[in-house]
Amino acid sequence: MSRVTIFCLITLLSTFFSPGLAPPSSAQSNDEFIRAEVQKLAAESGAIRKAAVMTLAKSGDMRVEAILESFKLAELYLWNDVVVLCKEMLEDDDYNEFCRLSDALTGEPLLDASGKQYEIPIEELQEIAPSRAERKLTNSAKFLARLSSPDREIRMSGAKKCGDPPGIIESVSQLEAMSENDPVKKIRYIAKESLLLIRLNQTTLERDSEAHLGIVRELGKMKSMRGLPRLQETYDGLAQGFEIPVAAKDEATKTYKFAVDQINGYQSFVGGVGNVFRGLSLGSVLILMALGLAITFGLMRVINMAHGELMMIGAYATFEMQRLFGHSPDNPSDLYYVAALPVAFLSAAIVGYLIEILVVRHLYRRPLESLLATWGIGLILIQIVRIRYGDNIGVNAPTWARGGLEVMQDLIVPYSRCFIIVLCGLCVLLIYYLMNHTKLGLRMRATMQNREMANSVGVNTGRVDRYTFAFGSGIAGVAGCAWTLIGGVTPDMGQTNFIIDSFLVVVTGGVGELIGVICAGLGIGVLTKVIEPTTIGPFVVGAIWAKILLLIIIVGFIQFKPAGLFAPKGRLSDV
Amino acid sequence: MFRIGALKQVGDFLQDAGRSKQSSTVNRGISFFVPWVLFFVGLVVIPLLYYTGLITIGTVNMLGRYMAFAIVAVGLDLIWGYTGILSLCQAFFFSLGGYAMGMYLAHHGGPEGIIDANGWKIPACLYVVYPYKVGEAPADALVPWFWKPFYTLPVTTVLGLLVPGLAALAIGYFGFRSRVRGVYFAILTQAITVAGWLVFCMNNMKLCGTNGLTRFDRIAGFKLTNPSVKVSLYVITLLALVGVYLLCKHVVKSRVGRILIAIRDDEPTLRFSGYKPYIYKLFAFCLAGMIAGLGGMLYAPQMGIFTPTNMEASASILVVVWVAVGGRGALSGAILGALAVNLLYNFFTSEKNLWLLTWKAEYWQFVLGGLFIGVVLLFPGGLIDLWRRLVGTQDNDITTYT
Repeated sequence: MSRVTIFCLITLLSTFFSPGLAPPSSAQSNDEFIRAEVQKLAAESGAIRKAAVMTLAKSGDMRVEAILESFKLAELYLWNDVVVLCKEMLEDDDYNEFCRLSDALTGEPLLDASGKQYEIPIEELQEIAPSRAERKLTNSAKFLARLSSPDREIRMSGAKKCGDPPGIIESVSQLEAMSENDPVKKIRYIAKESLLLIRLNQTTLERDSEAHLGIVRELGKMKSMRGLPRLQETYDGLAQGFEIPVAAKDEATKTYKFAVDQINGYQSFVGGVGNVFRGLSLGSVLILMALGLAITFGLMRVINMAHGELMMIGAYATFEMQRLFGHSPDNPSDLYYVAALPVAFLSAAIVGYLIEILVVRHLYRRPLESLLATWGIGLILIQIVRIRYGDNIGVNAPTWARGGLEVMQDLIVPYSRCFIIVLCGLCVLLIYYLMNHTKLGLRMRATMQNREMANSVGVNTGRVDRYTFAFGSGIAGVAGCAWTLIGGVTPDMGQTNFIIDSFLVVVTGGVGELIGVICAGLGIGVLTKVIEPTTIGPFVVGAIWAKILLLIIIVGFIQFKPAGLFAPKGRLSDV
Repeated sequence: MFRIGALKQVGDFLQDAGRSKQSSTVNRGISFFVPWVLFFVGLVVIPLLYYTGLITIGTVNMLGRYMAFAIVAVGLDLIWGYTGILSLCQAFFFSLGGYAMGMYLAHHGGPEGIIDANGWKIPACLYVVYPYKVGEAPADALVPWFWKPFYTLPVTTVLGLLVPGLAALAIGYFGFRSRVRGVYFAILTQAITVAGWLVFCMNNMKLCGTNGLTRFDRIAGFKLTNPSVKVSLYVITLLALVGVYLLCKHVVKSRVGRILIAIRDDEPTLRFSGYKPYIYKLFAFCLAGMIAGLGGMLYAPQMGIFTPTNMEASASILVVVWVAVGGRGALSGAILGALAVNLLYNFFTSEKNLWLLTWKAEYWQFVLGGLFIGVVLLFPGGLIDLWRRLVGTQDNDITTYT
């Protein structure tokens, strides 16, 4: 086993580092070779120049792309029969123009004897002006150059660009090699896709329909997203009965239809999985919100309408930590988010604690009154934040939460959403542990079941309430911190987006059991995201109708289960 | 579903409602006098002040709008103060009424508009909003079918009461039948209000989106900008308020009222004694919904615009605070509360220089939040109860909420 591991490691390492391991002597000769080719770019004859462009593109050197770009933009000049680069023009007071020279290959400034960069009057330079055809060629050569880059991202983009219409025919041989031998699976796939797309362009239904249809079949089998628009276009033409002189028209139409259906079917499958995933992450935020609500409602029979504002406080605490750490997209400092989680929890918990001792304490078992009073608290909190921060702020996600993991072809799972789901799972575990395996949890459950009895056996129910309320508020703060990764932050985010939804989660799940909240939260989150992009006839349901449909579903649901999914049994159920 | 027995119960209480007058009380307290004093002030003093030039027509118009709010508050008091059901969708019913009247006004308003293929004039506010380009409507644009019934005033008035009533019937039927109670019902109605708000905000619903219904011009042929029309609208609103007050008074004094209070205080016991609480709840809820619709209908022409902001979540909770501040469980308290909170709003949303700080309009949210907390924690009986405690009069009209 260990030998296998080591072997894998070595293979991996060698794939990563092999381009860097090239011996210096060959680099030296490589430099000379490229310099010679660059020199040819200044040749009189267009054929030589074109040949030089293609040789450069296939050379596999990293610097070639920049050189070709300069060539295209006519930034290369001939000076004393040497090709040089000039990106900067200077002008003196008499409007004489000077060029600052750099080395064409390395891009480093050319220095004279005194160590100053050469500034040469423009008249001494001879411009190298590529023709229109050459500029076009250079453009595709640039992508060709990327194919031999050691960096996988650059190589991938090169492989992609080569196949994009009209396709770079010169790249076929290299793409063929890549589709077989490239160490990265994704690149092998893209190279093959590009290859097929180029061949699709070269062949036509009229002339060589067998080969053409073979490519179409292959693209369908690969479920190629990039091939879809072109296949669809031809298929629409065939289906609408355009006059296309094809021998076996039915056969062609059938093949095209099969391929298009194959791709579309796969895409809708991937889209469905993606929607479920988005729903899960939305549901996770809802669960984090609803857990605090369900616990405080179960324990004290109070409704906390300011719960959404506690979430908002968590989000603004994250924003403050970002400012403290000086995190910005240009200057990332990812540690801020690690610090923000506990800070968001604590700040929301402290505000929750204050709300409990100042207001909620007096409102036990009066849910309707507590609803009003906490709504008032919410209004005040919103206004304080609005006066302090204005209406909109931006929280930048830490760098590790950007991007995503491609679990399947075309199915990218964003890291931020993964993180939220994991965070929610951890919080649920924490709450489960707290409720069932700690003294505070024991007292909490005792108070929930029978407050008077718990009091009489010595449980300080007032303290239990305060801690529970603060804890629930803290979880809402964590939810706010998590939300900054996937959504916007405004002072009234809690009131407009979350409070009602998370109450619906509590209503659907029932206040008795945490599992009810979890099921209802995930269910509502996933249903929302699955309904939203559904189409009925020509209409897309959209966010608003999805919300209304969901509400109707919930109202229908409580016709059968008035106390929620997991209702407490017996006397407790009569609120 | 309704059964024969249930229908008989409804019939019984409507008969009883007439008889209950004999049991009127001798001991009349503040809650009896407050409304009559208010009505006297409203009907005699305010017009006098206006015609002597002491207050402007703007103030009269403002008071008229607040009276329309008071109508909604009376309806909520019936369902919350007496029946114990906290409904957070009164603002939705209010808006349904408001939109009904707003559509009527839009039909007869604005600059001369475009005539569609069927000979209907497209209301100006409709064709400045998507799906049409600003100021122009395509040749095939039609007045939507649901705009057409609101062309005449009588039909509009009937629909303005009927539509909120039916909406309340549907919500109440599904809510009460499955015994959704207390906070659950409050949250559910809140969610419905938000859903309604989202729908009315959509541009392609052809309800003018977030712009709302605008460019009102005439009501029943009279110019809305004419001061005497404004005064008339004010008087009509006031009379409607008196009517609604008397109607609700009549209901709560009758046997139905007793049953409503019984539902509030102990619903299971009532159920066990053979009543069907949900029918009474449904009756009260529908009545409250129609009253809110009436308020909306009277509000729209006085405001001159009707937008979806009137049914935001915060708007529906605001109605609750009016009733809570005035004193729930007393119809006069609802009127008092609606007027008091709105006058406070009017006072606090203007910028003024106090001794050390400048008061800004945005600080109103603090006052409002404080009101929410204060009325719950410090004086749960509201203004009426406060007065009663200060003066010390016994008042059997108030049934304090416990």
